[in-house]
Amino acid sequence: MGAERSAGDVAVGLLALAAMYIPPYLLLKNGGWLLYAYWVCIALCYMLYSLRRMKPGG
Amino acid sequence: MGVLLNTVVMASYILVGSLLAVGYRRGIRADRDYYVAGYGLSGLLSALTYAATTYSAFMIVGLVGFTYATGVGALGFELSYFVATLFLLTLFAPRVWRMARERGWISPGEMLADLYGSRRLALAASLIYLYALVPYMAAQVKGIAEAVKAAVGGGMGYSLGVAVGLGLMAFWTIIAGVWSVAVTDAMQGLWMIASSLLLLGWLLAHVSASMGLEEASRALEAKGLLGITGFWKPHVFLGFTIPWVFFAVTNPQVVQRLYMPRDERALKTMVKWFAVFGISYTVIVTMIGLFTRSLSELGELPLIHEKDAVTPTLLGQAPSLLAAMVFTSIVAAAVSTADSIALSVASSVVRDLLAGRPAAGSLAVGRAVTFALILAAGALSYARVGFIVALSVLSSYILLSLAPPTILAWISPGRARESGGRAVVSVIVSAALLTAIALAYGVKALTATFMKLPVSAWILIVSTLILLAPNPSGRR
Repeated sequence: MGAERSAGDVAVGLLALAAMYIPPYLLLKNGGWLLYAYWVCIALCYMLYSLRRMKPGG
Repeated sequence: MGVLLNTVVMASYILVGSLLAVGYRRGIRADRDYYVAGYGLSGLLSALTYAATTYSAFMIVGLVGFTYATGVGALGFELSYFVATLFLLTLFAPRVWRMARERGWISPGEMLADLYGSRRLALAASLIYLYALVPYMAAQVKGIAEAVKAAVGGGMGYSLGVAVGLGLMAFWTIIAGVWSVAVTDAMQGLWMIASSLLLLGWLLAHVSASMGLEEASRALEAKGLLGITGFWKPHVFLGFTIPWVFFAVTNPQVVQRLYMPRDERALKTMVKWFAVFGISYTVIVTMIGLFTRSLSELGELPLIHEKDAVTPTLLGQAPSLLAAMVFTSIVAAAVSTADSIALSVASSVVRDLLAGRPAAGSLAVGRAVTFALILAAGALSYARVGFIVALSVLSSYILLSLAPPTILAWISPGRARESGGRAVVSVIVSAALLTAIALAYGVKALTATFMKLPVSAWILIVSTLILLAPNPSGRR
């Protein structure tokens, strides 16, 4: 876990948060289940990234 | 039959939880055993207690109703919290975990006092925890009482529910502190997710059999519920999410859980299984809200106007055993959140407010304070004072005042050490402003705006500027 708080981690986290807020209001206001799938996909991708960063030596 | 089944399932939950609480007693010799499990929790217990403490009855009652009423935006709101929490845990959990055992932190106030070199900051934090979180505990007791009242068919159900809630919280916290809370949280967390999954399975089967999933989706789409509805204007989305984005750093019951895993591997396991729990539970609960709405849109259920009535109405249609399990999961979600808060606030009272007094080191005093907090929550659950109700909804909003100093201290302990005075001013000014806004607007404080930004965002900006302002001597 020596790599915690790297600039890359901060950038990826902020990007994931921005992705939760901005695209739904610009591109995905309507579109069936697309918006639901989009939000789940962003959360899932960020979850996989953050768990990888928490691995020993990650 | 329904009442009998509800009673049997609820009694089974109470019995299993109490046996676990008694069976999991560990040698409690000092505060660090009672409040932070001697820094010795396993990864899985840490994960389940983190998840059960975080996810309250709001999920299966409030979020189901919110999704039903406002559509898929409610998923975005809840997943924004989830992403932000993982972000904060990835960045800070290892450092906080390490510093907690190196420096012997037990309460979150001690962490702030240590990092800023300011006892006054711990006192301020402790007072904010007390007035923001005791009403929140009261809201959980009220949730338990409403669930028990619905489960036993009214009558004396509310009072019985208050008694059950207070009894469980008191027994499970006092018997072995966070050891019994963690093991009962684990049982309750599993109960919450299993029963919600069964409810979703039944609901999807019911929708498939009666109208088909495609028809249900079309009905939701026709109402715009699969897109951004009129409710979720950008400032509303921001206003709702800001307090939750900082939940992991402002709420003492979750901050304290970062101290508890027994080693680094347990800490990683905690984050991993919390993440799996969180995303699964959020998807399940929002799906329940959406498909319940499809039943209303297609005339299978009446249109439900009160958000908190959506889950009870749906349970009225569900098989009795399933309904009994979900009613009990509402109680479990509320108990697991409230008893963790009781213990965390008690640690703050004993370690920060009473620090230096002879009583501070006594476990008996710790137990007495925990019990007094639980009783206070019970008393408030009977009160219908508007401001108390607003405070219970706005607890995370008021706790936002602690976000800038906590994050600064985690990023740069050296800089924090030189900013003790400004941190106290920042916390007091922002807590006073947030409280004044809560008093003026009630629950609408969440969406109040100034120059198109939520007021909470402005207060975060102001408190950060106070914290980071250069001082006249040129030192930070």
